[in-house]
Amino acid sequence: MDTSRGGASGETTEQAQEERVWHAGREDPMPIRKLPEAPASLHILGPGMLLAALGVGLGETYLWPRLVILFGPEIRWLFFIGVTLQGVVMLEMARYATATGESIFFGAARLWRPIMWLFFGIAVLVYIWPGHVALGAQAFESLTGISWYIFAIAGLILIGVIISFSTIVYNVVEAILSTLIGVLVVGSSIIAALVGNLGFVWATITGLFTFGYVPKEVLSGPDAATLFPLIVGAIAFAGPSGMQQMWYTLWLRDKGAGMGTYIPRIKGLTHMDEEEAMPSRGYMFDTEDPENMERWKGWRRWVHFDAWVLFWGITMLTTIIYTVLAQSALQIDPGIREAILADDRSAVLDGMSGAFAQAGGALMGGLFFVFISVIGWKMTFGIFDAFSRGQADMTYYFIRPTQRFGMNKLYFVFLWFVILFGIAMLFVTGEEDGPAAILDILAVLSTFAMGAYCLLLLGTNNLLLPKKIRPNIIINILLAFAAIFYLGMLAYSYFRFGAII
Amino acid sequence: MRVLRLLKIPGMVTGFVAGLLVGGLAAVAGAPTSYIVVSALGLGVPLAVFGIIYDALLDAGRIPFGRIAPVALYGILTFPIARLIQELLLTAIFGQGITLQHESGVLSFLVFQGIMGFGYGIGFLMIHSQIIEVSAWRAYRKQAKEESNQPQTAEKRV
Repeated sequence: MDTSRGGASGETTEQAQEERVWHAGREDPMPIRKLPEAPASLHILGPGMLLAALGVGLGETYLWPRLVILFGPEIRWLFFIGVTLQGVVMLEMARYATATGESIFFGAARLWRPIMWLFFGIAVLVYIWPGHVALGAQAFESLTGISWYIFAIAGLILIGVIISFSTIVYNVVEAILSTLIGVLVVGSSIIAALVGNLGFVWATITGLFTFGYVPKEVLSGPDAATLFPLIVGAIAFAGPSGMQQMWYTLWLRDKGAGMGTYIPRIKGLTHMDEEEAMPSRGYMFDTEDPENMERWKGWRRWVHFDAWVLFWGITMLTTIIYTVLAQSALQIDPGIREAILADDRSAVLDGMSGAFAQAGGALMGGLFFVFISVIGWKMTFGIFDAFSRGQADMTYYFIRPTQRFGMNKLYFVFLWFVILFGIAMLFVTGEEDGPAAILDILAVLSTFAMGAYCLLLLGTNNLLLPKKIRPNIIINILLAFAAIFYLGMLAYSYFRFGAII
Repeated sequence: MRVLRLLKIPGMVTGFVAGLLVGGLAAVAGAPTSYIVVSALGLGVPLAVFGIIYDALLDAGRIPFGRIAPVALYGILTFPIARLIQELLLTAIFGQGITLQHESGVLSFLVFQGIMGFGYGIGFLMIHSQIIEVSAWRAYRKQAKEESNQPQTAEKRV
């Protein structure tokens, strides 16, 4: 690395450091700065928590319980593989973001700008739909009898208002998502404690390790064309789906992790006058400096805690709870399975709710619907924030004329666009077409994006970072495997069954 | 010490509301009033008490703030007790509990509830941390830092 340590302190250091840069890919070189120290404590609040909070969603509570009811808890091994690969991906996303303070989108542009624009396009295609909030609102309609359109539109407007009036947007998003996921985990633990038993937990845990189990009807038979794509979609929904991992790099930056500390944060609409100047690229630290490398190790420890304890641990915990719930539902009402096979998409929601109502002496009939509502809203809340961050980031840096508006304004343009578009879509989409149809399309594009970002990470982390902080061979093999896993399943689904959804 | 009293609230509220959740749902689902009250209070009160104890331990510096492992362990130990109290109350009053009679024995009941208690503990911490963030914790830390020589629990934002 073409760097040496700067002066002792103050202006001299600044001047000395300005001359030292790290050339990475095609964009502007990164100036060398000192890597800040990692936090001493491993705290529960962090971007990993945020990713877990966003990731634990309809996959865990809706798509996977559906698969467990159809095929038994043994199918969960695929979930285990999916979430573990996501843990590795998360570490690598964090590697790029903490080392540079840049988003992974910027990294993509450093390799070749069209790659970044590809993700820009996928984000628009996948994430502007209000599918989550609509499904959540539908669940609320089942509970209250009030039309779901009202809840969905109110939910969308609420998102805009909360974010617009926040001081630092990231802090508010983190607080709301963490609290909601906390409520969800507490509530579902209590329900599972009231309907489940030890046998279910044992079946769930062993099911996570029945590697290789694939039911015959998934690969051949009359239902294979429906069931295989269903599994592919569900795997994409294991943990953070689609581009959520890419957005994690933006949250890391706003949290001030690693070199992200040098990048200003996004502020609410009412605090726009305090906006700081956004640098035109990220930064790099001197990897020849032992002190910096020591601090880098500290950040890697912090990121590992984020990835394995907060993200992986909490996701697996929620999964175990919801698998117990699904098994309880099936035991109480075996008719759910037939209803799902008959392609009644809402059978899982109605079935699980109904089964719990019978089981707990009418204790819990409504709670499942409440949870789905909460999940639907918080997913949309988190996704709309992240989507706006990502699109604003790419627009600001790579459509230069937009820089005069500033990152903050661009963020709010995207946010309110996606909210208003969502409201418009809710008026256009008929109830018969249903939000579930949107979710299936989302699952397919998610799978593609996930395979693609694994390849992207192989490129950014091996070509753009200094040698000393590049991933090792095992990580690279795992990333390559993940890319084959996601893209391969998608391709197999298409060529074998002629259907991608 | 008003601040210290305030500090006891988040744990109590989190536990009690979790218990009331059960009662609230029973109400939505149309269960008899007596059943709603007993099932809600039977779980809500013990969880609230354990919440208060948690805050007291936090205050005494026995549990570090924001760490996962201690609170998960706390959940594993206390949640089964709260559930057992609820089941015994319901059995005593209405003749049968919710799941206790379906388990093969009290031990397997407690083990299963302990596993769910792990989840409860993690969720409790997430909510608790957020309440603390906006409540007395910051003021308390500042005050404690200035006034006492008690070691500070490490909560450092990035």
